[in-house]
Amino acid sequence: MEKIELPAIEENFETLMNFLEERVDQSGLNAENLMLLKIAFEEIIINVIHYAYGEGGGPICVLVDFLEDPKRLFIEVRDHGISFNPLERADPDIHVPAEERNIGGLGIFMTKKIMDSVTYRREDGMNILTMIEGITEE
Amino acid sequence: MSLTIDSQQHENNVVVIAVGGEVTFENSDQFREKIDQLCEQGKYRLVIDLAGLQYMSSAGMGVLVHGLKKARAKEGDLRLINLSDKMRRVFLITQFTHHFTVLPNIEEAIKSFSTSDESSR
Repeated sequence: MEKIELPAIEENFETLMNFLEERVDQSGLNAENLMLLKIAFEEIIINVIHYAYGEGGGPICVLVDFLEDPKRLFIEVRDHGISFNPLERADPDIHVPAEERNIGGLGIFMTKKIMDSVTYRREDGMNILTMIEGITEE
Repeated sequence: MSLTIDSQQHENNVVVIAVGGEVTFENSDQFREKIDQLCEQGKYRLVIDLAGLQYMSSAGMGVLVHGLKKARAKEGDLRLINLSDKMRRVFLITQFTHHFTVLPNIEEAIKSFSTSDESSR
């Protein structure tokens, strides 16, 4: 398992995205699924950067691993911020006309649709979001 | 993460905005500002060319909806061309394919606006 821990600030966004990209590029996921994975990951880390901490700030920790039988990618995002389960946010109504659409909540909705599994737990004062994506050999 | 945005004026008062590279939360404001700038100039017939797009997160999708709302409020529209298979999947997840007019290329997109002119006569 590989891990990165940094202050949860916008300046570290690119480093966090690169950390994931470098690990999943050779994972066997096709280009389409890699992009979807990046979208899901971006939503989760932005959520932590923007909402986990107040002015004092705090760390964000990302863990990436590859699991076997069946082959799948494991991503965990942890923070020590206020207790918050982003998965509880109501899904946006994607059927209303575009002119009436509220874009809020779209990112988490996309994450739930993209990943095979997204779960949240509060443990030891941490918000822990775990994402699993199956890898199909092509 | 690089983002390139180039706009070009075409006939029928249509402006084509070619978006290339990656649209993330970090740079999506540049894209939004471009759309706002064009709307301020009275350009409400916008075509977004996604041929060079490698990646777009929900931040970019938000900009597209923002532009669509602005354009339609002034009897214009924001239409999309060169949607790749991978972006099409994102659009299907979000049901954006139902909201945006997606056309295969610039020629078709420009023609689609002239057809709107005729139907509004």
